[in-house]
Amino acid sequence: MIQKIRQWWLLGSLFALLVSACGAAPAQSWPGLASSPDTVYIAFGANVFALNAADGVQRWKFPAENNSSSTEFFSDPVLDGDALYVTSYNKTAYAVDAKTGKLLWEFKGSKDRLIAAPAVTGDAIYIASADNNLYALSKKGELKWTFTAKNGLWAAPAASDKVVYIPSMDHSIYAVDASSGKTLWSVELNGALAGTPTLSKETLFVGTLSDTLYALDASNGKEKWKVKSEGWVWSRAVVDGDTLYFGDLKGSIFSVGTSEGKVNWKQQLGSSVRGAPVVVGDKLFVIAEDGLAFSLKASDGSTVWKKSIDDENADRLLGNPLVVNDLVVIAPIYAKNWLYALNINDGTTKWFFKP
Amino acid sequence: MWNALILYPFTNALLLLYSVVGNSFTLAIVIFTVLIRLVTIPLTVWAQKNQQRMTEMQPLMKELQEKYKDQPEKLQAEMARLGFGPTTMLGGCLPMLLQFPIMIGLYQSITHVMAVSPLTLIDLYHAIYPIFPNFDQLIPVNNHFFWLNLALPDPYYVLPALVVATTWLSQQMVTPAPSADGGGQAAEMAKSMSLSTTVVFGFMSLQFASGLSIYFVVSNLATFVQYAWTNEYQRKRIIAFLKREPLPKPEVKKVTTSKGSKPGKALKAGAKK
Repeated sequence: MIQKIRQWWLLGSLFALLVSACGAAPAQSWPGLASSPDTVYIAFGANVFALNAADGVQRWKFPAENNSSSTEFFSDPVLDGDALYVTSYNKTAYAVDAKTGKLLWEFKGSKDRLIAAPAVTGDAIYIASADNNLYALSKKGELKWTFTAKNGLWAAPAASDKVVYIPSMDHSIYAVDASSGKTLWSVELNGALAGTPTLSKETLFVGTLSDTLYALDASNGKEKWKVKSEGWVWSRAVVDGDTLYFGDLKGSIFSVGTSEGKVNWKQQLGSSVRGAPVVVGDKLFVIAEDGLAFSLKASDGSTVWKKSIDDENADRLLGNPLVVNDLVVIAPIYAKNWLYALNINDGTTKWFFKP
Repeated sequence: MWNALILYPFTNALLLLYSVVGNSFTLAIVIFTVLIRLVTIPLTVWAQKNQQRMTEMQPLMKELQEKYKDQPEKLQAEMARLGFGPTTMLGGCLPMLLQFPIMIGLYQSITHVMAVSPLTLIDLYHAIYPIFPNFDQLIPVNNHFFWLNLALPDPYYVLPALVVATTWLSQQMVTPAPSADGGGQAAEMAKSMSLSTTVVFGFMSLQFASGLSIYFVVSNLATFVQYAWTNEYQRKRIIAFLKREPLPKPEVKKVTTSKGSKPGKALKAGAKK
């Protein structure tokens, strides 16, 4: 009997050792966020949650039952009318009723994880997959066409009603006809592309994992100008008037003129900027990986306020922040809470959420 | 501390190897695993000798436990005299313990370099030294090898089967030669450990990225070759198996403690053989 117990103890120890060697089941990415004027949606781990924007009280979660092995949400959901579209690492895209959290339909055509957020236009939904394919779906979830790149698609496309621009880890960006899925043009850049491009007035802005932000002519892919950064540009660039803002993984935030790519100012925040900046009026809201949220003056990058999200475990702010009414909403990966809503004017915490 | 001393150097070395061998991650894993195993040979040989010595001393320890079953202090003193005091026992485990961080570091660096998800890619970005040449151009790491996507489990179960076979094989080599009395409880334990290790690794290779299964297979084969090279008893077993002869019986090493024998002498004699 004692011998048996010893054997089982040894087996248990071996399991424990192997599990510790592999590390705890880690998050594979950062939480995804979306909002309407009265609701904040967070997609993280097994569920998508809908919360009151005013106080952070939960309205619903999807799926309603916890089943962590079947769904893994990390990308930003997209709200379009009454539907919320969200992709999962379980190779499935879901359309959910934004008011109730009930499933409308699901698309299971991908052969690999759906890392990127979906992109939605007037009559189509585009699902980029790590299996190299871009799937164009109707708003009822029916497959219209498939486009295949040479490597995985980690970023959501930028889509207009006529053209879909899809960046790929194969170092190229592709312009694809929205009605047929045929390639209109493609251009190889200097590194892998993991960030969503921004389309503004016939110009496509896209960052590479090779320290560069490119401005391309959206009609033919020709380079208009480029800005060399200090680290990888994974952050989506944000256009406000004739100014472009983006961050890099070495912790710099850039303000650049959209017409010629002239750098207006550059501000060092101390750790990686992965999330896209948000511009509200003359302020810029940015988060840095080590746990700090910043409000900067859009005119010169000087700090208005900065706030440590979680004093005890302020770490890994990598998702895209949101501004909802008078709140900046931030979702860290590792912190006491899943979501922090800060006052836009001074950075004080108005509410937080933990399921 | 862990990152600076183990994980980051391993990750940089593995990625450098990947670029040197023409962007083949499989080849990089194979070469890196073999290199690490070569560097840690002194540790594993030391551990191997300790293990064999302990097995040989089993009958004597049993004898002492029986003799002094009602006198724990006396038993402890006698064990210490023979070189089995708490400090010595711990020292015997040391080589085995030292191997763990290296193996775990190797495992983690493979996961790091594969960078199959956004978070692991950012971790890789932070892990790479600024002087690393052309790092950006190596991203994404080529994860494909024949039918395998190294980031996903093998869909045809070929690698899990290889992991089970090689783990079983390496466990046969690691299990020390039975002692003069056949090993008794210790031999049973070793057998049980061998079986459970094989099952655990087989299960892990069904669940985990196949890049890690390649590491398991190479590591197991390295263990097999190393033991065949350094352990005479195991070498004889392999030769007998290949010639289809009966398996050799272990040499009977009678280790006794007699009055007047110097502390630790019998132990040393056992270890040398």
